[in-house]
Amino acid sequence: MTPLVECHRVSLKAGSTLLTRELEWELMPGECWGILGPNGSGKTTLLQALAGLHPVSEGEIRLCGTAVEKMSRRTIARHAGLLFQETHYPFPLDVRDLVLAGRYAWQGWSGASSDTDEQISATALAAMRLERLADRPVNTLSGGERRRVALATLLSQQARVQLLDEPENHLDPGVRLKLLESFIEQLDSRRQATVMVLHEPALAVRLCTHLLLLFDDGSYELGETGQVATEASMSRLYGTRFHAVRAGEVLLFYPG
Amino acid sequence: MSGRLLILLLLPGLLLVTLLSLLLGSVELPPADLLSAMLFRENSLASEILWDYRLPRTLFAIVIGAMLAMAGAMMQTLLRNPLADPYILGTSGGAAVGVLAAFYLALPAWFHLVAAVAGALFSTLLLMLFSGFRRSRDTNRLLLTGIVLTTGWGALITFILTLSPSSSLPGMLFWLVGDLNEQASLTVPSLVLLLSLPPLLLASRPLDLLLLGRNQAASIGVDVPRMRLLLLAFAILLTATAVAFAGPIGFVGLVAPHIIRLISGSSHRTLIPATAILGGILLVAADLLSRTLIAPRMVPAGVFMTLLGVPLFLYLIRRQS
Repeated sequence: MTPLVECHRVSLKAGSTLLTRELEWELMPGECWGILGPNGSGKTTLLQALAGLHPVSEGEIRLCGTAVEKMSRRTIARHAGLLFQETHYPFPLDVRDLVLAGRYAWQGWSGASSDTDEQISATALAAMRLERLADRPVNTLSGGERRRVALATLLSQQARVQLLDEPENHLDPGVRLKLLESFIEQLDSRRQATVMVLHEPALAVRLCTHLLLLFDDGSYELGETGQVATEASMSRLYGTRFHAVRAGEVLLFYPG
Repeated sequence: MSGRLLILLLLPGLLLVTLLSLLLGSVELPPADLLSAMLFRENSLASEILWDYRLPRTLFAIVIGAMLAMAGAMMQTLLRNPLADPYILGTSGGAAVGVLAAFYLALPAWFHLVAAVAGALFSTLLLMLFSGFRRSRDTNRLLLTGIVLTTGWGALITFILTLSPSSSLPGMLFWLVGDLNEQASLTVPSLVLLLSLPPLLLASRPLDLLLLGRNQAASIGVDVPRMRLLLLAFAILLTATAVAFAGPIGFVGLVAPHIIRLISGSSHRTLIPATAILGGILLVAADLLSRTLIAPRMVPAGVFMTLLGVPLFLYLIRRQS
């Protein structure tokens, strides 16, 4: 089986600062990867590079076997969808229309939406529990509601790889986990996969099958969650001593 | 309101102002005479006024108004800012300097359009370069850059006027404040307008998505550079043509798209045609006022557009902050 994402010796820079050095990584269908790292370690840059929005300075990124830089925007959008850290809407736009916009890469040149498009975006709206807000303009919603709209848009895009940049932003602690779990449940584990940048190690441990740790110096560590999420690696990652406690099935990390 | 309904309501509005514009003017003609002149082409004073003066002038106002309104809508999408307008951001000023320079150098008439395009293009590139185009959320910087450019073009305009012989000054001045009295030709502006509509309407869906922002639009599959080039090209062509033929008339591009968005949202499939029709209505109405309010003296139509636009602009600024 072809991996959904292949990174071969990928190095990334922001300006002249080296962020990631010679990353070797493969993402297979059904996997859920958490990217952890301190501020400025290049987590967002890596996600954007995977979506073809940031150039690699060395190496190559392939989506389903094809190099990203050889793909059109439309083809990339069918392979990789991105949830941005922040969204800003200066013009009024209804929630329903925004979620339907996720279908663009699958529509003809006129951008007319078919019944299938309508159905897929309605399912996405329901999965993110947005039916009640469907006819509201997005700019009148709260931060958390807007976050759910962005997640629903991504679901309706039906890309092979879901790239989530800090998906927990603006979400209440109470619904955070459930919402992201129901997001992942909507995916087809035989063809889709998820990569999420997270700030909270505990959330990563609960949601992700694998972890990719990006260190300050451009090095990285990756593997299955159980093997990578240790006191030692978290302490090294954030540059401060971390302790792990197990509470039932939940593994928690706290600094101190 | 649905887009189709809005357009269906706007068309009778356009017809109404057109009829008023044909019926009213500095020369008062009995409606019966006008009606018969309208229905039968006869050799009368009424017929001459109607067919040779009022009709061409009204059509000219419709075309110019439509172009300016569309140019405004394009700039707003391009810069993702509802306050963007070719007049406020200096595009019209650049075009005007081009045209006046061509006037001054006594270049042939067709060169006025070329000079207007060159000036508009140059001014818009300066705007994008200095306003931090990539972070166009920064409204202050965009407006400040636009105001500085407009001021600069204003100084150049004064400079050219100072150099010009006094015999050509009244013509230049009236052109500058948006006077529809001396319409040159209807053909070229109509052609430019008709050529602009199909490509923009065909791209209406990706243009909608461009409003989500550069990265977000790209991430769902929009070819952002191509769409931006399309917007830039047509915003400049429409502005430059309108300026070359009718002078720099302000605020049509701000007022018309704003009203349409309030009524039916920002979908370009509706926004583009509806804005064009409303732009036509606004400029015909402004021109009608300019011909009748203190008749027989004429106030340039651009003056009324500006008087309407300034309060709206102030209101928009207040609401944005």
